[in-house]
Amino acid sequence: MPHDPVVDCRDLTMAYGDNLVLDGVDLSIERGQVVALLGPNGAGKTTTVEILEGFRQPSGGQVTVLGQTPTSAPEAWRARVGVVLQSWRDHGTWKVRDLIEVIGGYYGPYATAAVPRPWPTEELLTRVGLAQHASARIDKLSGGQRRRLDVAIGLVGRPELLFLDEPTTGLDPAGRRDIHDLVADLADLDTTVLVTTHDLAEAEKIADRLLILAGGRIVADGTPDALRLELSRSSEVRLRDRATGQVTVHAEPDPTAYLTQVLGSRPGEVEVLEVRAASLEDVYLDIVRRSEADDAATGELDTTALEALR
Amino acid sequence: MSQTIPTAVLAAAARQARITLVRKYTSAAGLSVIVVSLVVLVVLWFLRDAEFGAAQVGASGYIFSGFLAFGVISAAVLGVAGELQAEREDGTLLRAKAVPHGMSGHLLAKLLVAPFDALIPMLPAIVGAAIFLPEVMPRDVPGWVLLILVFLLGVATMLPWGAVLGSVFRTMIGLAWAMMTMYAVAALSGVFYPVGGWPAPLQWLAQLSPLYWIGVAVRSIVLPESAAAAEIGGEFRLALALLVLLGWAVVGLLVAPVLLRRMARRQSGSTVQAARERVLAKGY
Repeated sequence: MPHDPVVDCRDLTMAYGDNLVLDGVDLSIERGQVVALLGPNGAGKTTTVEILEGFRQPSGGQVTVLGQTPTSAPEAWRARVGVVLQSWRDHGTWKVRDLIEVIGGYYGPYATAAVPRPWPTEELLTRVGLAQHASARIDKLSGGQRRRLDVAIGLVGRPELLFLDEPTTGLDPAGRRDIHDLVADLADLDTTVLVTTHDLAEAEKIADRLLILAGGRIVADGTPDALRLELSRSSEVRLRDRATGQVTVHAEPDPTAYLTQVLGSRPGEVEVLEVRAASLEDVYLDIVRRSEADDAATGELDTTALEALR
Repeated sequence: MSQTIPTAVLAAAARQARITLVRKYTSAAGLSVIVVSLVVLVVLWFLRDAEFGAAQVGASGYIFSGFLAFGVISAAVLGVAGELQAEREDGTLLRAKAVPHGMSGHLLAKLLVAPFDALIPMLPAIVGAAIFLPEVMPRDVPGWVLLILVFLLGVATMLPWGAVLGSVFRTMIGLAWAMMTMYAVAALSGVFYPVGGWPAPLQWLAQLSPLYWIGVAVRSIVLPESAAAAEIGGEFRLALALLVLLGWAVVGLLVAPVLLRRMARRQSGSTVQAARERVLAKGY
């Protein structure tokens, strides 16, 4: 089977004057993957995504998205890419249905037998939970409803690759769950999704691959489980003595030997036993902290985390 | 790769233009623009017997022709420039950029909306004047045809320059300065009144601006022949006015796309976010 990545970056660099924001990013995303791009503020997430969207010309390196260089790709390429923007106050006096239909109209010429474009308005609005607001003025929508509209606009062309920027900002738990379900549906439809988010729990829930960007480089790349398990420096063992009620906490990278010893030597004495892997948040903060510390100390990034996963 | 715009995109742009007009002129804010028109109509009524200049031409004719000329300039330059600047910051242009042919369609829709944006606010004054003050209106059908031609040429001339201003000035403050300058140029351009009595250097200065020629063209259609005495050289020079406006339109249509493309290239989520943060922090 030929290797056909949807996104392929080699040695991607971006500098604003003397400020090197991206410093040799290598990245490949396969069709159908849901990838979350995480990183602290200023890590280069937005720059990376805007380069992939074709909104920004990189300073160096090679970028291919759906087989084309984004900044010089034809309009037919644009029709295959969906962008969910963080809207603010555009088209305030318009009705929801009108905006979807007008934007959808631009995708009509790019319909194929396999991919009918645009997505029918009523069906799309139902899918994102806005059916009963189809005739509402956009400036009358709540923040969450507005976010759903943003998602609908990103999807109206039935994209093969969807960029989602902070997709659930401003949504209540039910709205968040709807969007998460929608992303899962998109993955089932073979849509590749690149999500940028600050929400680790969300990333873990919707993405099957996490990329952590720090200091202009990808410092970790793997599944949520792989990141959590392979990069965690320690697991925590908590046990409570049945007789005394005393809680003992023990932490080490591999607690197997400790557990075997405790359970073997104290049969019936342990009332509660809990073994907890480091949380994804612990791992994320650890990776970012280490990479930034290394960067500050040596000017070079520690990519051992990435190497460990490879 | 074909650069032609698909018919469906033209249809989407036309639909966008229709919705924009309907949303704008069925809202209280949109309809408020006719207030100025009604005020002008009242002024015309009260000044219907007043006369202006040595030629003893009715003052209402000058006011009406100045109102029509400046209406075109205001909608096509100031209106479009303000809209582009706002759309750059509120995410409208970025959204257009994210869809195939979206930016072309968006600008085409703006092109379709502009003549209506110029005409609708003036409509009450035009209709009212046609009923109550027929002496300030074109005297015959060719006059009306000529007025419509000058109107469309005026919009076509000024629209690209509105796009230029909207693409060059990145903030509302910068654009406000540009607009103040524009008002000053309008005041000195002779769009509201003839400049035949001015010193020669000022006359030349006024003639450098397309605003002057719009004013001359409208006056030549609306005012009686005797009013030409107050113009430069004692004549209206309508044919020259049309040629100069055409020249300005051609130059504008060559310059504007270059600047609009540059503006579109620079449009990104970061720029919208930066504008949002600036507005939230500073209030403008």
